[in-house]
Amino acid sequence: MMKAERSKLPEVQLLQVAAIPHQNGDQQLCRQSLYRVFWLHHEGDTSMSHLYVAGPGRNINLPLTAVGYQISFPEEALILLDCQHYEPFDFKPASAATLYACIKNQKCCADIGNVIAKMQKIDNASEQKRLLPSLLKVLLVYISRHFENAPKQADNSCEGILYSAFMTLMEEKSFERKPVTAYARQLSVSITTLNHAIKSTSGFTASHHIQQRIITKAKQAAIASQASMKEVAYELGFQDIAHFSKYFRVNTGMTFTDYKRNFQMIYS
Amino acid sequence: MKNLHSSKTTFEAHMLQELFNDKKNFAEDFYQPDVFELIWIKKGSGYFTIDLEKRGLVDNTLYCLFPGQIHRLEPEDELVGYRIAFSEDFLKTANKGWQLPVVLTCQGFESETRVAWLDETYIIEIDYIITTMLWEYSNEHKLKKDILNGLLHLLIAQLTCQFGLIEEREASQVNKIYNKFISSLSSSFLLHKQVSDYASELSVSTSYLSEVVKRVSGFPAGYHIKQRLLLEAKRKAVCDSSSMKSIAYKLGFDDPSTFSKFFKSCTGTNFSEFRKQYA
Repeated sequence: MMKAERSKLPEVQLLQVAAIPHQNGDQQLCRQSLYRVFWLHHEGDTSMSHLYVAGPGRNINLPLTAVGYQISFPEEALILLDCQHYEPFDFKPASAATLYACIKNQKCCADIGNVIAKMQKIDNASEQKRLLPSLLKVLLVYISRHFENAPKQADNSCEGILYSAFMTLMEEKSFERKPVTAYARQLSVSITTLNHAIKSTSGFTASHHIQQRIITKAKQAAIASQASMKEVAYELGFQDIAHFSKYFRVNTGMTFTDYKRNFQMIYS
Repeated sequence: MKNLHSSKTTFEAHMLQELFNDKKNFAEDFYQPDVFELIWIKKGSGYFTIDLEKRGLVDNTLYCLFPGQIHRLEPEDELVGYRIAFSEDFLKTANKGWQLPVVLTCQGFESETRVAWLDETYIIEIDYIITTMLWEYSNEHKLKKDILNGLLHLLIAQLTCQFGLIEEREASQVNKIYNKFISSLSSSFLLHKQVSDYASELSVSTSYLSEVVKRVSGFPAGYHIKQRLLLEAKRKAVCDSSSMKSIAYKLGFDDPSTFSKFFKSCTGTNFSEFRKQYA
């Protein structure tokens, strides 16, 4: 079976599983913003399996002789299943491009292999597709367990500490839109210091991070709850609904209602 | 007054053999759990009484029990099977806005029992899910709660296919109101006895609610409230050994004699005789 055809319809599939035959080119290019997981083993060698995880838009070099499967899914799947915090998928902009794990444990190999085999068997047109979200969740947990001890770069410089303090503030449950000055005050530093620290550590400005966070929160509320746009807007600290509506559209390329409609479909 | 649906997040997975060995009383008497239970009898003989309806055990049967249903398992020899118990909150940990799937919602007032005889293909699938669950449950690995949650959703999705219950995505407005009424009835029938209470909870007028419920189910809203209360009275009569008086108060009756009359007029027998039948 060759790589599954990518549909050009706006409808989004929760995930795709494709078998990878012998590689023709060593580069798997990613045209869409999908997370991709590669589950491979070398032909004739079943003692170990290789797991690669690539973030959206990352290219990956796969070994030439390997066969196996590619599983791709959009970020929305993570939001839906509440898996954004699972380890290899909590991609921060600055983290490594792709992650790799070699799995030798027989049980782990069998577990992951089983789930992928089940996913592949499911016909997307049938009612069985309702099994996909939970299968994906189980798979994500299995994968996450292999990155348990992935070394985290401990950044003990002043900037690094400030950056992680800032990110922690944003992870708070009661997150709402606040200007960078508010964060600077909370962290007792000047706005220039904060901006500089964040930019030099992550490569993005503080306001970019805030914006990303608002969008993620809004998306999550859109697909994972029955809340209306009004409720979501107020919860995120927007006083003006029209403003929120525009903000969402500009940043995601889709209106809130369209987004909700598109992605709720894959879950129900 | 106590709400029937527990607010704790519970999850348990056990083999039936273990349960019978650990707690001798597990099978002896009726009990009324406040969580959902999935009981899968793989092999064994005996009787299983659910809501006073006695059934013989059949191999490869899966029972889906709702919170509040009373049941008693009487095995004649050793049972092979599994019991998975979980609360609604556990299902919703990943997603607060998630709605219960049809397989776990009581559709009518006579909350019918969902029983499935599994065929070969499902046995393999469900066996796989449950063994994985048990393994995860008895081990402490990273993201244990998450994987159990995922597996439980997987199991429920399989059951939805097995029971042939496909959700109607575009339920009509009338059906939506009816479903909301039924679910709020089962969670607050001890507190609210008037149709108007439910109407204001759903933000519709009393007469409209009555009309909608009658159109969908054939019975007026008041009848559903009465039947739900009666069902609970019968359950309590059998599994709660306290006096009629205290049961009357538990069910929200101010006067035990009103309760006594209510019970007799609905069932045809009086409370203590009814209880004796099942003693």
